[in-house]
Amino acid sequence: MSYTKGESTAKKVGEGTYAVVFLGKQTSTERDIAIKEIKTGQFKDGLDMSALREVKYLQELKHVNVIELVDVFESANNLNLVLEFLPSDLEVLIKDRTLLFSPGDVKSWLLMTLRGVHHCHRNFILHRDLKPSNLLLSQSGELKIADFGLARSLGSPNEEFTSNVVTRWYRAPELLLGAKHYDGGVDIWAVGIIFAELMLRVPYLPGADDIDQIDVTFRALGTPTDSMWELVSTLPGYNNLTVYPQPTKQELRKRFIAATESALDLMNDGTLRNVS
Amino acid sequence: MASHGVSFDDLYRRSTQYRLWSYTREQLAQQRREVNEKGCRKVDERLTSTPEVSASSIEKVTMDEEIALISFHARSIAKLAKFFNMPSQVRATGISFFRKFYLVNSVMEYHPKLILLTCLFLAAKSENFFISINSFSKRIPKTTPESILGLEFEILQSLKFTLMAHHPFRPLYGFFYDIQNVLGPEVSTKELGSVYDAARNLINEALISDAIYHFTPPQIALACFKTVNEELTMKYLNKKFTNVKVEDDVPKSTDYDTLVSVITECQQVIKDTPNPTKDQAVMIDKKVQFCVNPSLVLKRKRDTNEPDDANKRPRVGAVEGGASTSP
Repeated sequence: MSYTKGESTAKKVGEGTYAVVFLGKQTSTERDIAIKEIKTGQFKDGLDMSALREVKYLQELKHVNVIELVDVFESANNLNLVLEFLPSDLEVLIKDRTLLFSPGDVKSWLLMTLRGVHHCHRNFILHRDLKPSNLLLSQSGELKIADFGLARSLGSPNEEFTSNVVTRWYRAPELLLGAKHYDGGVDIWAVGIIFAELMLRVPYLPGADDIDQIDVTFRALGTPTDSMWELVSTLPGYNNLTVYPQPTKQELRKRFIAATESALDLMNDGTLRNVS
Repeated sequence: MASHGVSFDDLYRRSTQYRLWSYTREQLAQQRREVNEKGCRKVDERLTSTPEVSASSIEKVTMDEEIALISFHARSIAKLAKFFNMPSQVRATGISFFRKFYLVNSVMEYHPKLILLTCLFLAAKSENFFISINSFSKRIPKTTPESILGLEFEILQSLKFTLMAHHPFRPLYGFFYDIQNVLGPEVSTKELGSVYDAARNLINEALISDAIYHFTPPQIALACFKTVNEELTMKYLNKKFTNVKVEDDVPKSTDYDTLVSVITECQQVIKDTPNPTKDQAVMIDKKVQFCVNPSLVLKRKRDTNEPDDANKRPRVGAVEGGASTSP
């Protein structure tokens, strides 16, 4: 297949490597596409891990709510990912104060996000970096999950995972507390926090640093204790925590003035403690 | 989750492993024939550009020799992975990458000795077991970071940019639990444990067989269980299929015969895994060297008094048994 390249925007993709994203068209179909050109020479250990992850998982995940990897090719020893072109994302919309969100908007974005996440999870893949800027929107309003650079497969039960994943504000308590074993709950937590942000139009739990994030999170949603979450206190990061009470329904209503009762219930489900 | 009609079978059929890397026996044989022919043409091209070497002095390798050499080196990957203490997932994926590479390329195009190293290094990254290229290369004699990294792209391309490899280890573990669940007190944990361990070992053999191209990971896992202990496995399957009330996703009992015949067939394929001796592999390896670099023949004529010392590969068992590929 051949492509014509248009304007470019430089974008950092992590682990010290850089990708340049070009907008372009697929010559045969006139379809708009984005070409993510990953500079391979700059990673001293060969092909960049996050680029490999992105290719690995997107090749498997064909779904209407996951960004489509149209093609992969090599040019001048750079890896090029041809992705469907998606002009906007939820972060852009949240920040655009001229836009009013109807409950229907929020519901449909949330539903599309959850469908995409469900598809990842039923394929035993964790995204591990859900946030508004990774939820892209097509011209016709379809939401698609993007950026699988931190994704990984759910492996064997004795394998250790790193807890240093997910952008801080969307990080689940088990990650904040340094768990080495976790599951799809970390993605669902992030979806719950994104849901809150869609209602508030500002980040819900904006911790200033990793320590502050623990405080901000537990002050808003209560500090988990062994009685509600078995053995939570044995997690490596569980020490000298201020024990905040669980928020009452009334407090949540005050924080989310426009939310319906069922919206609050749903958000509460999303941010429930990992009880497994 | 199956309520909306998407079963785990459906999901597997959407995987690249099923879509791009599963073959019938005929397709697989055809693919290998084509690759061997491509390799022969490549040797002819090289001979054309080295007129000083007579074509008759170069012996091409046959398709069966390619298969033998690849399976020999697939076992080398397993040893090398052990040497680096890599998890079984990395080892299995390394073998998978390596074998897929040679469904696209001939050993006469790329010498397996170098390809296997890069496949293992790439598998380690793909399976989240990162090891720096310096510490990887440092422990393998006669390599440099560049000699390993230089082939990454070639391999990724031959893999059609698909990196996901589903192995039979996880289904095997699942069956380990389900057998306990279905048979209950009829099987002792101790007995099942030793059957499981033996079956897990057999999977390492299955990874080198053609079973991975013809069967799904759970089928291979069951075939391994059945090879290790047929009585127990049949007892489990029997009860699983007759005991319809256990779960609603239990297949109909009419599927039982199909399943048993499929896994019996799979057992045979695993049993047929080529396992060439070191001497056989060394012999094919020599031929490959001349195919890859015909002008070595001239050198051989000059150095007939010197013994070939390329087999002296200390420390790493995994790369012994073959000759050096450096021109």
